[in-house]
Amino acid sequence: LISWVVLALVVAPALLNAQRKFDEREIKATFLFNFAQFVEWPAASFADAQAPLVIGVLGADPFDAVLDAVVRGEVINGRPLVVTRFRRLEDVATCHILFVSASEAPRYPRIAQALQGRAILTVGDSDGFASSGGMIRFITDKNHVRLRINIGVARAVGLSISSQLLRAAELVGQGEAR
Amino acid sequence: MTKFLRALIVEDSPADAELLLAELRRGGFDVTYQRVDTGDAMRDALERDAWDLVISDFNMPAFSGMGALQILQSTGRDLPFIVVSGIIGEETAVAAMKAGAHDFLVKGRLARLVPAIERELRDSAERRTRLQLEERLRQSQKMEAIGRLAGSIAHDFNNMLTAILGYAELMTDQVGPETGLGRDLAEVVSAAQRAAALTRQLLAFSRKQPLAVVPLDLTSAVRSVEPMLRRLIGEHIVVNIALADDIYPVLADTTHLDQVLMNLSLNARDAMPRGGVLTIETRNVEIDAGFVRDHPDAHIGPCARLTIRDTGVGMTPGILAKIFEPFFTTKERGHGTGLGLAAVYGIVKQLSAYIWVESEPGRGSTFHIDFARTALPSLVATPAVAAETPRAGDETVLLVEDEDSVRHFAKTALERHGYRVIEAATGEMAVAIIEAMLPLDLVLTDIILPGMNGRELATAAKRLRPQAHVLFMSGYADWPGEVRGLLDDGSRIELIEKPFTAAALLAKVRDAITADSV
Repeated sequence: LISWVVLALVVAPALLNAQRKFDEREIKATFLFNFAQFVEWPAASFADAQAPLVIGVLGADPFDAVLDAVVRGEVINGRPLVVTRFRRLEDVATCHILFVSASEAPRYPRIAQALQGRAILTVGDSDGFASSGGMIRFITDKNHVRLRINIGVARAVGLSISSQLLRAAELVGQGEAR
Repeated sequence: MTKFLRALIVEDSPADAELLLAELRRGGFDVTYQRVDTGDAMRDALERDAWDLVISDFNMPAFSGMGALQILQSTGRDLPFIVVSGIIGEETAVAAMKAGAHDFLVKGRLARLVPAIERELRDSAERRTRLQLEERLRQSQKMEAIGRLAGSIAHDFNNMLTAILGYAELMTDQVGPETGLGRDLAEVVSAAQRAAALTRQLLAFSRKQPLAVVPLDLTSAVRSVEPMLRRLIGEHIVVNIALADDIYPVLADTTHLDQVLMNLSLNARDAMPRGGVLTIETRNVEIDAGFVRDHPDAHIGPCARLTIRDTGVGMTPGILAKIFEPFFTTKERGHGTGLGLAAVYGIVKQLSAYIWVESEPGRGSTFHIDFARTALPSLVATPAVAAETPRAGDETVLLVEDEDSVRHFAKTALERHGYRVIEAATGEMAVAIIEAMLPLDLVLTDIILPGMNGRELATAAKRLRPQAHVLFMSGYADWPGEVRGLLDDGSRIELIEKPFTAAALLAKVRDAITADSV
């Protein structure tokens, strides 16, 4: 019995901390859908004014159910949000924001090339993402999330990113960033 | 010093009773008494008058000491019962004591009578005090439990009502108020508003209302609600308002002070169904030690007093003792929730003021509320939100709320009026967003959040983005720590109470964004 009590004393605060701790997946998921507030897509990206805004995940999904839970019921400027998953690059269909999983890191350049000309905001969180033609990279250090944005790539496909977001981020051009 | 004593003497011999009385008078008692020698007479006497104790013979032709003891016990009254008898056996004496007699004396040896009575009266008073304390404790525990229950229900209700009211309003904007659907929606809104009013009373009683306490003066507060009160009261009642101009500033919350004035005025109106005079007064008073002796919860020192007097039916002491209890009502079923005065009491307590009532049947009732004077100068009353307050804006609002329905509604309302809205369901998430995104014009946050609470978030937000404004949403005051009108850095708390309408939210957001930065 005593050992149980001791265990409870040790575990209980740990559980409390776990509950309140920085949940990277949840924060990235929240950022992903809030990006829609700062980006304008060309009119042709949506079938009509009520068409959903699609958030895609390419490759091994790091979010589990977290992204779906965060996005559930959300509407942005009248558009419902939808989450879809693509196993391979060839599967990427209609989508407005695409999170490129770390599992795809070896194929970053090929992905960037394949998506050229499509108005999709690409987001990743691994080294080399922005320099390989990705648009927004999450950089996490010591429980803080920063953004690195490759503005040239976004502009090239007709996406306009609000200066409000740009001012907060670290801006890079293609080739110079990692 | 004369000691008054009301003694019920159970004794068949007038001469023996005289001996007892002589002994009592020798002991310094000023005795009022009645002598009875039958069970019926004793029952009658107990019922008709108040007694301090019973002195009883043991063997009487028509009655017995044991019988008298049983009758006393059957009334439930806790009076000292002292047996004074001729010589009887020790066993009989022991049996009587076991049955509940407090002492046993022998006639002819009455020297012990006075000390015994004094001891028993002392013990009896102590027992009564203890019982009263226990009863008060039980009562306050009961109120506390009801309050907690009411508070937690009201909190959830306010979230739901925010969504119901809010979406009904957004739909009305789309279909137009004069269409069939628009009129149906008006019914939804009106029912939801009645529910919101009820929730407000519950929260007030449970002292869980979010308060924005500021220095203000009672005279201006009464003046600002006077037109509305006159409309509510009706023409059969004369409203007489007597306000002091040099009233002391006090710490209070305008909205809740209005609620107190309304509830007390409506209560006064209902006490005067055939008309009468309702008087509302403010004046300065000096509370001294003498007053506090009779009113232990009052504050000594200078106070501003708000008085509401009616010339209505008045109350008996029995009703007076219960009026602040929740769900207590003298009105017919369906004509009162029994929450009005309970809400007044809760608000007054939460504002650290003191309420007391004078009333007699047929002679009206007077409610006084004493607020301690504050050293802070009272703020100039801000006029009600002007109708033409611009609703739209293009600023960026970080909206932090864990209740999805409330968050979605607030976001929709703000987005439709041009704001850019970033959402977060927790304080931690909000801090991560504030760290990564610049600039931010307003943090609109719930006070109670899982994990980091709204107040902690506000402090973090002010540190990271000193230029950002903070507006709290709350349906429930639960500041970690005490209820205060100021944030840690001394800036005033901007608060919107749930449930709120889109119009109220937009006006508050506009006010908060354009407020002078501190």
